[in-house]
Amino acid sequence: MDDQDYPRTPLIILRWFCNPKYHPDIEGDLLEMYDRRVQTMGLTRAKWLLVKDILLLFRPGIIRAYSSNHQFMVRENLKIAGRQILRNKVFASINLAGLTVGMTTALLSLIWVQNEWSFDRFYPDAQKIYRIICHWEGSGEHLTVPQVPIQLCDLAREEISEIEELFILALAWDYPLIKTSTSEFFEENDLAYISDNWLDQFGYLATQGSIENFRANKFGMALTEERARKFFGMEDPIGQTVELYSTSYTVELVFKENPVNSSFKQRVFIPLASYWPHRLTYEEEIRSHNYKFVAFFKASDQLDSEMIELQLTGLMERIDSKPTSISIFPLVDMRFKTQFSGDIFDHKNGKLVHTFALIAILILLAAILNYINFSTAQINQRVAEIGTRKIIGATSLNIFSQIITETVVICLLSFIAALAASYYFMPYLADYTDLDLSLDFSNKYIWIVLLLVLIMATLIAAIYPGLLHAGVRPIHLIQKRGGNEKGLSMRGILMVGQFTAAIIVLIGTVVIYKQLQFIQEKDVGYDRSQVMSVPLKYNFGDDHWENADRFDNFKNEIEKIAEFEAVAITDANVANIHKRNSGTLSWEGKAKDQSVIVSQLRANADLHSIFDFEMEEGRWFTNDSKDFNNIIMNRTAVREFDIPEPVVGRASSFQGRDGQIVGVVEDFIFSDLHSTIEPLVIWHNQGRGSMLLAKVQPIGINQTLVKVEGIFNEIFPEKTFEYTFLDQSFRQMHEADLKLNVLLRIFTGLLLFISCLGILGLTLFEAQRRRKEIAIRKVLGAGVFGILKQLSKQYFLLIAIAFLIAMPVAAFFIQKWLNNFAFHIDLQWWFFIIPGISAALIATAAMSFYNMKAALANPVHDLRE
Amino acid sequence: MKQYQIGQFEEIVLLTVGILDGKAYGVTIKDEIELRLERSVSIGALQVTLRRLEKKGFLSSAHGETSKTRRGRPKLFFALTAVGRKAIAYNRDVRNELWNALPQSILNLNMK
Repeated sequence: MDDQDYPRTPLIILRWFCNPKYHPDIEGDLLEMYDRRVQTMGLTRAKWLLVKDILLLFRPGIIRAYSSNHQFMVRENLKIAGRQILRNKVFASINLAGLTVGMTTALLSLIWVQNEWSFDRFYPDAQKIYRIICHWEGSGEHLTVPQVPIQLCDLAREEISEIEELFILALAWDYPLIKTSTSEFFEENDLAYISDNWLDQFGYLATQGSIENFRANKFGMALTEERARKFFGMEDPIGQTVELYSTSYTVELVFKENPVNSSFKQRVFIPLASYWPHRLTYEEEIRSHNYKFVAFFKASDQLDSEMIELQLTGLMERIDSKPTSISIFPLVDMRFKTQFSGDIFDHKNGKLVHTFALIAILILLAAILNYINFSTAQINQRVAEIGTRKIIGATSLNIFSQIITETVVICLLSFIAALAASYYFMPYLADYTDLDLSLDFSNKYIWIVLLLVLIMATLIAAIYPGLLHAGVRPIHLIQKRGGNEKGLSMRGILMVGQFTAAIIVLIGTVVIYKQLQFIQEKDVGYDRSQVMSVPLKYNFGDDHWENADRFDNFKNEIEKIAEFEAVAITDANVANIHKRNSGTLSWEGKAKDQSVIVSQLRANADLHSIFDFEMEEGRWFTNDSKDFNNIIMNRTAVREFDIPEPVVGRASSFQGRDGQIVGVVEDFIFSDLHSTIEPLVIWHNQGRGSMLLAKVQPIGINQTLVKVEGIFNEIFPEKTFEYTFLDQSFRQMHEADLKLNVLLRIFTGLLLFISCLGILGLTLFEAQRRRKEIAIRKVLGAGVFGILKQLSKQYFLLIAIAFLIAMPVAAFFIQKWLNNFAFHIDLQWWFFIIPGISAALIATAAMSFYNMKAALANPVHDLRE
Repeated sequence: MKQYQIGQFEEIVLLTVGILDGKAYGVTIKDEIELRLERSVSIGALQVTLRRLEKKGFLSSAHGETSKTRRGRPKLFFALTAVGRKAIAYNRDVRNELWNALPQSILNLNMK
């Protein structure tokens, strides 16, 4: 073996930290063993073990002792840092306050981002799992359907070799009702049918019973611990039978609920095998190709997703004549990177979360800029100190390490305060984001976040002032200058940066506020005030019409209450119509190849008496049975589908009912304001449906609600009474936007606060430095106002520059945000001017504090020294 | 006899140095312990213990010859000092005393 053939880098590291007395023989031992290991285990492993041994040698007893000189320096630096803080209490507290606020926001938002990123990543093989979704192409319309027909799953499993396993979940859309053996009823909205490989793949943990038993029983049921307690109390849940859809299911498994950072929140599972023939026979299911099944698949290692998409689209052509294309995307992107409406899993707007993290880091950066500003501003006061030390023999490195020590002390103190603050505010953030956030120190990512924030902040804050101070030369003592001009222009740039950021978010806040106000006040085309909706939850398995008498009964009873002005049965809360239909609408003269996608609403004459929709043409429905097969369209539908004149009276067909178009209704908004008005078909419901809408008088609303609840409980004893007001559900649809507003306001406040702290500190510094100048000016007859102007004008210049930079940047981003909305306000000049002026005013207030003091001071005190 | 109190690993190291009798340096000590006790020993743990024992006066050390595979780095041979020998003897006596004091019934319940 070659003597010189050994890894040197680890040994250099060893030499660096090892006590020199021990070093030679330890190195010899290591090399001897290294050679032996190369012989027995091979080169790579020997190298790795060498590194490991050296790392394990890094311990007290082996590490060289700190030289006593070094220890002395650290102690002296700490002492000087402490004195520096005590001498400049104002600066120190401004720095501490700013850095604490900055670090707290940075910590909180990074932990939030980390948590969002961790979604759906912890399942085994999570990276290999993809989701299949469909896209319907209509004439000019595009609709994403996040479910697929069951037939596609079957074909894909057989014919596409890259798909190793397919996982299917189907929601029960119809308010399932679970009846326990004690004849108690439970509404279960978190129920889903799953294929038998689902539980294994997505990491569910059994706490009672077993996954095998659940899989083996076609009528088995799996519950979370919480549901088991809810249904059976203290009894042993395993082996209990419950009735669901007139079928008896046996509980075979109790499982631990998935962690919060899982998208899969369903709490009760039953086997997909029991889906048929209970709802439809399997053959019927295939014939009707319902888009009801959420499908994931596990791919083999090599996956060409475009090819898979093409293959799946090819399979789809065999199933459904509608033009449908298929796309796939990785499961790990589901939470963050995909946006489509109507999915059963929650999505988050990744851009939004990242924007917030960015703003939070900007806040921290602003606080760091303050630190740098103050530190460099003080350099003149310290020229004497540093110069003297250098004459005595200090090196630049000594000075540098002293400044670093001061920064580390301030940063560490702020960091501890920030940790405490994060701990305190974490529950609020968790509440706000609906996530399970905590300062969990067993999570290694939390440590990464903490260290990242601390180290980055310290480094950025320390380096520039450190270099500047280290560059002070003794000659400056005599010259009476220490890089003053350069420092000032640098401070100017940093301040402009701070105020630019502050003005940008301020403009954002104003525009978002105006847009939200616009949303609240937007005329949606009908009067939704004082309209309440009560869902009439019925079972799919029971024949829908079986409960018809009860529905009629309920409606009649409600109508008897004097406070109700109008009552109607329909199938959707009109503020949010999300049922869509593709392919079944046709009309006389429709081109054969034209495929249309429409939203649909079922109604009769009663609905018109609540909302008083404006008719563009024709008439609304009557309650006469002659109208049962007729339809009404909205104006957008007529325009987009290009239905020829005369529209009213034209023969039509929808959902297999042949009738005619009896009216065209003026467009009204039936979804959130992000989306445009889509084509809508209203068809007759013969007075039946799953939702009761009622216009109610505002006076005595509480008593009215009690009455309604009483009637509901009498007629539907097995159901729980729920209601919303349309105003409320409209607001709920925009909840994400409302939340955005809240957070942005807080951030804007913080950023302004820190920027003002910066100004406050700099004016204090300037006022102190120019004390004599001011005194002389006053003696010579300058007024208070003149002196204020003298002291303030440079800051106004900086703010003006910041405003000019902020305006176009803010305009760009805010326009992008507004474009998310189909209905939005237009940007107006005063959206920019007002934030600019208010930023200037706030800054003036901040700087006046010390400037006033300086201007009002008695010149005698300042001159007599 | 506080000065003789040593930890278990320290005792093992002292005994092994004694067993190796003049041939005890880092690698051989490590090998010997690993062989006899069927446990792995990290160089870090071993070196720290050796230096500590030397500082306490239980071991003495002297630089010895080198070899080709050590690239000229000397071996550092360890030997038991008189105090070291007393220390292991003391530890054995203490242990024997305790063993002798152990009631027979407990001994019977011993493993194996």
